[in-house]
Formats: sequence, C-alpha cells, structure tokens
Amino acid sequence: MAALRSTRIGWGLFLTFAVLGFLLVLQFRTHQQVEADLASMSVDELSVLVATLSRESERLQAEVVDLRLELIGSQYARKTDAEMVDERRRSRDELELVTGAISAVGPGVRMVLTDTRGSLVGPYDMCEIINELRVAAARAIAVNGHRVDFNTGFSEGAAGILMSGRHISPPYDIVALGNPAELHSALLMPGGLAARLGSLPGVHVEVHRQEQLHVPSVDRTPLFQYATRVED
Amino acid sequence: MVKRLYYLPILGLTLGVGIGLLIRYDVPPTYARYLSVAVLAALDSALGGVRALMERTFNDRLFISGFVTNTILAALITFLGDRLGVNLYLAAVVAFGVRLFQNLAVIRRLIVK
Repeated sequence: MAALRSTRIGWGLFLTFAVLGFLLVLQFRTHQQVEADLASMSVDELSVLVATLSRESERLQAEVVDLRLELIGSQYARKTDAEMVDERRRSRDELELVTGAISAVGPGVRMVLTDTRGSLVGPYDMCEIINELRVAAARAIAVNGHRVDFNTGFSEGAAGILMSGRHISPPYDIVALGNPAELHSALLMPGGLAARLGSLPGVHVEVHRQEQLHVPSVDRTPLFQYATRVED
Repeated sequence: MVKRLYYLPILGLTLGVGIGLLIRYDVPPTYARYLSVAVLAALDSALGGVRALMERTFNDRLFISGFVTNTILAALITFLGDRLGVNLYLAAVVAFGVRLFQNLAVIRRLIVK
C-alpha cells in the first residue's frame, strides 16, 4: 500500500514539474517575443526608441558620407597618369558634344513644320519647341541645319524667324537627339505643342522617330567678350 | 523513500523544459499576461508541494488539484480584471509572490536544519 502511494506521489510530482517546466519555457519565449513587439510598448518607450534610432541613423549616415569621400579619394590616388588622361579626354568629348563644338549622331526625332503662309509660326513657338525638347532630355538640337547651342536665340525677322541673327524660313526642319520615345511623346502629347501649332491654318506638323540622325556642330564660335573664366 | 522522491521534480522539470524547447509553440502576445500569472501560480504550487514533501505532510491529490486550479484561476482572475478594468493581475502577482517567498524560506530552513 505504501509502495503504491509512493509511486502515485512520484508520478504526480514528476508530471506536475514537467508541466511547470513546459510552462516556464513557454513563458520565457513569449516574454522575449513581447519585448520585441513594438505594439506592446508604451508611448514613452517608443519615443525613446525612436530618438535612439534617429541618432544612430544620423551617425551612420555621416559615416557613409565620410566613407564615400574616402573611397573617392583613394580611387583618385590609385589612378595612373594614363587613366587621368583618358578621363580628361572623355569629359572633354562630352563637353564638346554638349556645347556643340563637334557634330553629333544618334537616335532621336525629326519634326517638320510647314507654314504655307510663312508668318504664323513665330520665334516664341520656336522657343517653346526647343524648350519642350530640352525638358524631354534632348542632348543636341538643330533647326534647318543650324545647331542650337547655349547661345542661340530666336527673334522676329522681316520674313520668318531670325535664329541668332540668321534668317531661317519654313518649312522648319527640327532635329533633336535623345530618347526617341520620350521626345516623340513630349511633342505629340494631347493638347500639346504639335496639336496647338497644327490647328493653325496652313500649318502642318510632322514628327518622326529616327534611329540615325545627324546634328551639325556650331558654325560660329561664341565670343566671350564679357564673361571670363574664374580661376580656382 | 522520500530521498528518492526528491529527484523526481528535477527529472520532471528537465523533461518539461526539453519538451518546451522541442515544441515550437508561440503564445499570441495578447495572452502573454495570462500566461505569466499562470506560470507564477504554477511555480508557487510546485514549491508548496516541495515544502509539504519535506515537512512530510505531502498529499498528492491536494498538490495536483492545487497546481491545476491555482494555475487556471490565476489566468482567469487576470482575464476578469482586464474585463472589469481593475488590475486584479497585481493582486495575483502579490499573493503568489509572497507565498513563493514564504515557501522558499521554509524550504531553506528545512534544508539547513
């Protein structure tokens, strides 16, 4: 009888403590989970957390900037003379393309603007077309075979338009190099420039995408009479 | 006989912890509070059992029923407190906490004696 009772007590103790152990592990794990759960935090705890994380984020951002500068510095330091010459050459080529010192080829759009009366398309329309093309990231533009550079201006002429003092007459042939799809949609957007000009009597607008277009270089070197280079 | 019985709680606890580690069951955070009070009650009952065993007044029926009902009641009281907007949770923590320390003190005395 005593042995039976002892066995029963033994099993009771064993099972009860097993349940206790299980509950303890469950509680430890749940508590860890709750501590990591943002939803269970108070406003004070959260604001402290946000402040700490913001400070840490600022510090890390500053470190990123420092490391980038260091990286750029070390890249420059590593470059050989030949690489430097190459880089200079590349940037000079790019500058020449942008300023129009050399002619350029590439994909883009060609816009042909016919004006049978010869007086309805004015210099402001031309400015607007150039502006629209530049907004659509045109890299080189020419009107009637003349490069539009940073100095080009349009004004009213006796018969047609004066482009930097040079007389141009319709049909206007405008060539722009850049992403053909973007340039095309910029010119032909509903209610846009082409639609407005096309509605004028005697004016006809045609816009074509082309894979290979040619834009000549500037034919007059600008004179920097008043602007001079700032030395470092 | 009693000496042999002392190993059983340790074995049981080890088994329970082992099962707990093996079974990856997570209690939803909403019920975390109930579980914490229930665990406190279970711990108190278990230590009460050890104390009774050492004092040779152990009754297995009393022990198991106490363990089960205390655990469930503690969770229920906390739940009730939440519904009523009264922190009955604190009452349970204080009550079980005090008893826990008392039991521990008695066990310590019995061991030292």
